[in-house]
Amino acid sequence: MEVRRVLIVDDEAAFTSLVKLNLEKTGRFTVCEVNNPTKALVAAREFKPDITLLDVIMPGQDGGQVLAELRAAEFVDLPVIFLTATLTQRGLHERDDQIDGVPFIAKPVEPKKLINRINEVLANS
Amino acid sequence: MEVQTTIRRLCCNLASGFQNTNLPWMLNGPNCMAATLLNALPDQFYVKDLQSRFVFVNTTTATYLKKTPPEIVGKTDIDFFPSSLASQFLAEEKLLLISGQPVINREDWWQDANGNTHWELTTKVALSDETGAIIGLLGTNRDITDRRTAQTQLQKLNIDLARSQVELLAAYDHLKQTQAQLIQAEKLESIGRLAAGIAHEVRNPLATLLMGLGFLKGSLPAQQPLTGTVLNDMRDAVHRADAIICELLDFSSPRQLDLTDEAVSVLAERALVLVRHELGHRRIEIMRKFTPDLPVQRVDRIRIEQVFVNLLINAIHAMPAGGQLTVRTGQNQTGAVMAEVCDTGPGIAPELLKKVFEPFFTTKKVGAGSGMGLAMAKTIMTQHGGDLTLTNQSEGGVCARIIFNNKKEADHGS
Repeated sequence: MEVRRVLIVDDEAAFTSLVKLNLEKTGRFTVCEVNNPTKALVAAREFKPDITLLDVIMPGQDGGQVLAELRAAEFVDLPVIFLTATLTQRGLHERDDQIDGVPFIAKPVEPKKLINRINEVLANS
Repeated sequence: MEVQTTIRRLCCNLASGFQNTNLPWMLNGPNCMAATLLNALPDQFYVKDLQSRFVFVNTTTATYLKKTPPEIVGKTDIDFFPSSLASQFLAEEKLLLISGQPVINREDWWQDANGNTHWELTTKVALSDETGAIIGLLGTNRDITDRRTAQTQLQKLNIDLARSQVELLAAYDHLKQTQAQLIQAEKLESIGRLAAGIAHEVRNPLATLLMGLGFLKGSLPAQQPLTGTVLNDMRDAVHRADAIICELLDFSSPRQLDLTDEAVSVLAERALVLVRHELGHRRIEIMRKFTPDLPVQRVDRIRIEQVFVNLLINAIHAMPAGGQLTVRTGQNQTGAVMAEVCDTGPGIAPELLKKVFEPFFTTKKVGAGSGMGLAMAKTIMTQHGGDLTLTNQSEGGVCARIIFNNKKEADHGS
């Protein structure tokens, strides 16, 4: 089975390292952690991810700005999932789990649910 | 001229009252002092004979009738007043001249040719000669038009004042209500600001905890079931904390309504299905009293289901030892579609009824409820232009009633 490359951009280092542990334990992912959003583009160019998990509220640069930077560079079609602590699934419409067309997951999230969502987005891309 | 003689005698009799005052000059001349005195009166004074003809009028009477005394003497009221009024005066005087029954301080009004209303205070008494035979009448009229006008104005002002007072009280009530709403709105706004901050600061560590617990659970050797149970309990605690923050977030940032035409009874039924697990082993009998063919309501289905779910859960929690849960739909007297969720629990203490819609207010034990259910349900109903009220039933238990805005429905239908 192909190992998918996941870039996670989140200022919570403890969170990103645990995401990395959970994802890599399945043997189906390899994860690159970025805790400083201003370094996301450089890391993406180096790591060449299949998918990016992007925190929304971060100091320095928010998730939206990081995404705009990636899209303006060579990552026009890179699948992205927003991670956010300030929205609830119920807060948006039941059938709508996207922010401005970008899929999102509300934190906290069970590892299994996160993996399912990554697989779902990768399958649709 | 018997009447004139009598008048002169009368005047002199009146004047005789002044004899001790050392003013003999007042008695001299063709006009005795009494006539001078009568002319100085601010009230009208007149004497009439048995045919109601004026025999004597004082200056005030002449001024009032806009004539000179000689132009008046010998004439009757017919020459000065509208004929219907004059006839009335003459008839009344005829009676007086026969019976001797006086008219004392009677308020009369009449309208002149220009349409102005005049008010007078009338006194008329019979005038008799030495033998006691009635020979005419004495009359005095006081112009009370100004007083009556002032009285009418005062009455009008009093009515205006009473009306103003009612309006003032209503305005005061409205102001108090608005103030309460403002305080509530400000509270909610503060909660909104607080919620986003709390969510970010609390849910991020919760996310780390949940990821860590997930990893530990997956790494656990099979022979450590107790550790597995501990990890599950910790995971449940994380979800509980998250649920509270989710409710706070949903409450503080209500999304736009997604309006569709819905049957309220169907939404109530769906909510009953959703709360099945809450019923558990409680011996609760569910009574459905749905009114068929109610007008459909333009509502956000998910939000109204949420209102029903919150009300049903409260009702179920109010009856831990079992009871009867009644869900009713219908229309109130104004035709607005409404629904009720009633329990047979202990009810709510009257002093707490005012607080139940406040965010975080709860009577449930820690962990059993966030205190956001009714606050959110009320907000959702207000968003729909409707309302939610809670009352203790006389037969016991609480009845939560939601009312939909039938105006919106009517607008939609037109």
